[in-house]
Amino acid sequence: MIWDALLLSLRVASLATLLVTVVGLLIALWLARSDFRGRSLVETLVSLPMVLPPSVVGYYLLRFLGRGGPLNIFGTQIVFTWLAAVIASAVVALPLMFHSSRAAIAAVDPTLEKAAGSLGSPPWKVVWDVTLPLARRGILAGMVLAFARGLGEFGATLMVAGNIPGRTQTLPLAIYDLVQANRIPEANATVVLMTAVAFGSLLAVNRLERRARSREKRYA
Amino acid sequence: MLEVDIEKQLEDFTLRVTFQVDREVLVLFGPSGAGKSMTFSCITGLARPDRGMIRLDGRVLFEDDGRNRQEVPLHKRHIGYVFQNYALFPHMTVAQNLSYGIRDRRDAGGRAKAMLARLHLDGLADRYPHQLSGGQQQRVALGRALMIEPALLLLDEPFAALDGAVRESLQADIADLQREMALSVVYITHNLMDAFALGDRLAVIQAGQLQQVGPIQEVFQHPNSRTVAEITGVRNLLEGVVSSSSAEGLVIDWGGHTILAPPAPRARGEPVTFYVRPEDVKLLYPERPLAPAVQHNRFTGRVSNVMAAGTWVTVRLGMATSSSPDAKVTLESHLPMRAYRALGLEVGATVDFSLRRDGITLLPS
Repeated sequence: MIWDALLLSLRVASLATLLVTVVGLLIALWLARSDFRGRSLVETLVSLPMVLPPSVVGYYLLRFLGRGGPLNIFGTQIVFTWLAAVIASAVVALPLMFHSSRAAIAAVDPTLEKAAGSLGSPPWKVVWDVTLPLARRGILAGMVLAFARGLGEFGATLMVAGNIPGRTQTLPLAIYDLVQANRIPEANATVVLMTAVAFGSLLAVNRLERRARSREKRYA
Repeated sequence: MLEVDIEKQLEDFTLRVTFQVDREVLVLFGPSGAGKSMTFSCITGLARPDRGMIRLDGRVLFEDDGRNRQEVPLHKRHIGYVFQNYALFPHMTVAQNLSYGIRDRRDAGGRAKAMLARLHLDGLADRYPHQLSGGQQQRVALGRALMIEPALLLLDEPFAALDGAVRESLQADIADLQREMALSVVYITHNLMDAFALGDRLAVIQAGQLQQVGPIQEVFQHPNSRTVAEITGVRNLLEGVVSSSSAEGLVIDWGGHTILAPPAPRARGEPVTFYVRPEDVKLLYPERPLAPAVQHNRFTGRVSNVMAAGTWVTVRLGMATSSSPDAKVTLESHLPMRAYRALGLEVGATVDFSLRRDGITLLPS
């Protein structure tokens, strides 16, 4: 039960991170370099899952992705599958990715982007050659945070994917069941494992951010 | 050939510039905030003029006649632009920076190597920008802009952060490259020495308006207005009124003093602005007979300040005029250290001096 849950958790968190990286970067690039009316509205919307109770996020997803929901475009069953868990993790992790990468992108000297443009690179190539490489530590930090957050997702996942052992039961849900069933030694082991992953992730993010800062100083 | 004729409303003033640059070096000269950098931004495509046209070798880069607009984007203008702070890519090596603008990857390495040698940067190919000195960084930025083989090279304050020998050798290299590659070069500066260093022509800009465009020597010797005279650092700018005008010369009433000037078509009673270069303010030796050149325009003043620079000395002389008896007029005299020593002067001393008649230059009215 625990190994199934661990594997599922890793798969869910990885896919969610991938999804969040692409979507988060696109939104961050869009918002970091433009100034338009309603910009803060978009920012607030993207950040909302950070402060909403996970059960509320899960309820929205249930409504949007469920039968007849506006986001259930293919008419297939998403709710109560592991894909729903991926989407729940992604939505909850998006603000972390977005904030970290947007700050890193905003810190890139716009003159460098202008220089790349003047040397013949169209805007997409400027982003690829200059903006993203120079913001890479912040982006990486965002990915690690998103992965860690996705791995630990509980509330929204429970609402939209359920708690089906072997199919949608991720590690945090498994811990809940272990405690309910009074299987304390296994619960202890799992809790320690999750704590180690969380601790390691934060440590990595910390180092990335410190190196990004010292690099800025060196370039200045 | 670059042709620029643009207008753009800015916060404090309207930028309005018209000029052409052949295969030569044009210096865009003026105080900070005069619109020099904005002019560059418009040429490169980083900013959009409100109206006007920009053409490079006949190719329209921008044109807006009020009804239709035609605009080539930044990355398709093919202009070499060296930014003020160099803007080297910090995550790329020198070689990678140099070959960034080259689309054909096959010969990028060879060309980068040749450019390194040309700019005396051998052995630095694998360094990162932060491992280079300011002068080396500037050379890499120059090389990177030239690698795309542009017809036009724009340099924003290229020498501002460099000093002494580094500055001079870079100036010599840019002059050579301009000839070799038959480039049109425009560079921005607010420093007089840099303007003289390698420019062919000078465009003086102030508050968004082009004040005067012409060969450098001509602009410096014949500024067409008080504004240009002030910006180009002309000393001893004076105001007076013509009291008589004849074929022999002009007599100017300068605050109660009489000044003789070469003949000029000015009417009696006309206010004039004129200047006399510090070289033409001659300090007189009390015991020697006067040479004919300094027999006119003799005054007495008090030495208020002495500044020595190498073998030359600048002496500031305070003297009263009737229009400003309290606030003294200060004139500057420029003379060799040797001649100054022979005078035996010190601050506070009284001295006779002459404004050389042929050195009195009138600004156009």
